[in-house]
Amino acid sequence: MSTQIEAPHLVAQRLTDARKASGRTQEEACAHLGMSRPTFIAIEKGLRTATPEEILKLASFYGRSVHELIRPGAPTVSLEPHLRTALSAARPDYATLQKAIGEMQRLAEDYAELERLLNNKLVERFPNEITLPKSLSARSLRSFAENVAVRERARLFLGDQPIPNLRHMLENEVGIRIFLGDIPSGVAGMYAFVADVRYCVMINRLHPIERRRATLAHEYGHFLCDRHKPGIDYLEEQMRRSLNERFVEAFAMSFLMPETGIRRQFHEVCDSSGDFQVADLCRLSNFYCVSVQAMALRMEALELIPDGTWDFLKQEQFKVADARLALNLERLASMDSNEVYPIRYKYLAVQAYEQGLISEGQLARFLRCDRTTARDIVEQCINRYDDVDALGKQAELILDFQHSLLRPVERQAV
Amino acid sequence: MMPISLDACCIINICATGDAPRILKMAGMKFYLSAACSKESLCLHGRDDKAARIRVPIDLSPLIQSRLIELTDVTPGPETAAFVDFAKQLDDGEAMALALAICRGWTFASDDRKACRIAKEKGVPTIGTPGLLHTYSTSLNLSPPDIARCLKNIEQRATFRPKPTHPLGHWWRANSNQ
Repeated sequence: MSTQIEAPHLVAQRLTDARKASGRTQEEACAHLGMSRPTFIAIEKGLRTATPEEILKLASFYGRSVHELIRPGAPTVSLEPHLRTALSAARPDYATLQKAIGEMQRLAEDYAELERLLNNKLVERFPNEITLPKSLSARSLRSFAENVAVRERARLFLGDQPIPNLRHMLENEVGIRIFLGDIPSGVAGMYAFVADVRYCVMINRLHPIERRRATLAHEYGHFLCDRHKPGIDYLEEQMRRSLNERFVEAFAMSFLMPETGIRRQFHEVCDSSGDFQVADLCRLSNFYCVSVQAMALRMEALELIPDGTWDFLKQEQFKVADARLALNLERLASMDSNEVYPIRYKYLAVQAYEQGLISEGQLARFLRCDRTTARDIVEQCINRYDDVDALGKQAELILDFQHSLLRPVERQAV
Repeated sequence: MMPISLDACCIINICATGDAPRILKMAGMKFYLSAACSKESLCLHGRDDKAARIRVPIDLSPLIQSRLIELTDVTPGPETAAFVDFAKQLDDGEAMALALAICRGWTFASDDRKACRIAKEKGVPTIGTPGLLHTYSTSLNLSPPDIARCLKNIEQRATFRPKPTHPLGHWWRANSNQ
């Protein structure tokens, strides 16, 4: 049996990353192992191979599984160092944010691992990066952002309709990796572009769906103008926002709520009822899967409703949740998955498991759940109820993931 | 006594039957669970008071206290080396169960395709949940309703059913539909 640790540099890098993510110092780790600091540094530099016993002890000390530290495949994703540069150590939520960055790194690594196992790369249809003209007035910036949003919608064949499956669309039509994470509530999301996994975004899972969609459109704006600059988006208003930040904000609103679509909807309501009321605002925001506040501010900017409308509603203590209930508005945005990882990631994990490329324990780790839940996910993925039979009963379609659809169909004799 | 190193997937299925103590008392078998498997969060599906589906954590302590399962860990040296070696390809639970089986000459009990393939490559004898349940039903001469109850419990509480191509797949289907 091979007891040799393959690629010691690779394991060394994983050990170093795991130690940093656990918040342990080199002194603490070498004290735990009972070895000198130079010897420990040699392990972290890949100059000395860690023994199996040392790996076992370090995995337990760092709160990681042994498999995570020594699995094959290069730890190619280096999101953490990029995002740490955008992280302010002075923030009270620094530790939680660091943890979220660590999870984003692990999800990106797992995604890359699944693609490597199945030799299945994500298709990328990246638009060209945008350079913002430096001297733009606030009005010209809004108009510039509007034009970019219209162009992007045209490129993606979106027309001026709502995008109920924004996450799915950006993952599949553009090639962005979008994760949801338990980020501190004051942070909307974060993004980074690295060579190995390209553009990765993590959105705050704890925020309502409308907020998450606005954040996603915002991060897509960063992808257009700040592609190679990692960033963390805080919710708090900054006194002086950069030109790029103001563009991204305007782009997100235009992308989610296209001017032509909003104007048409507005005029249709006005023509049929002779008015545009709070209920209409709520219905329109629901139709576009955005918050009432976002829709009100967008309509103010388009000069469809008077300036200060949202402030008035706020002053009157308008309750959005009560309004939704009273108007019987179901959230349309539920077409987007609420899972931590993209749908494609889930299917890759199930496919790898079905092909025997990963074990059940690995599947559960990839899917961030226990084994029984992982079995449920496999069953849901391969036994899809897609239609009804001639008697109107739900038809069970058992999909064999390994069956090629490119071979001629062999028809069985009846 | 045939010593058996249980992988987490098998212990989940055995616990799902509702007959775990009787299965683990099977004559001629002694069951071991690795430290790594015992640390995993193992759950089954259950129903709450309102019949809604919930996850129920598996409590192995009664089985351990009554010595129906013995907890064991890898020792320093070849066992740890084997564990770390298998952990390159498998998760810790599977890797440790397999390392114990190979180093101690035990049978490896798992339903996992990848883990069983590696075990077979290393010449380790393997058994899965269908094999254990088949042995259990024949050795105690269980009535068809009793074995059907066990198999259905596994299907419903642990979402496990062997593939139709499994050597005991036909037996499973025939008996679970009693």
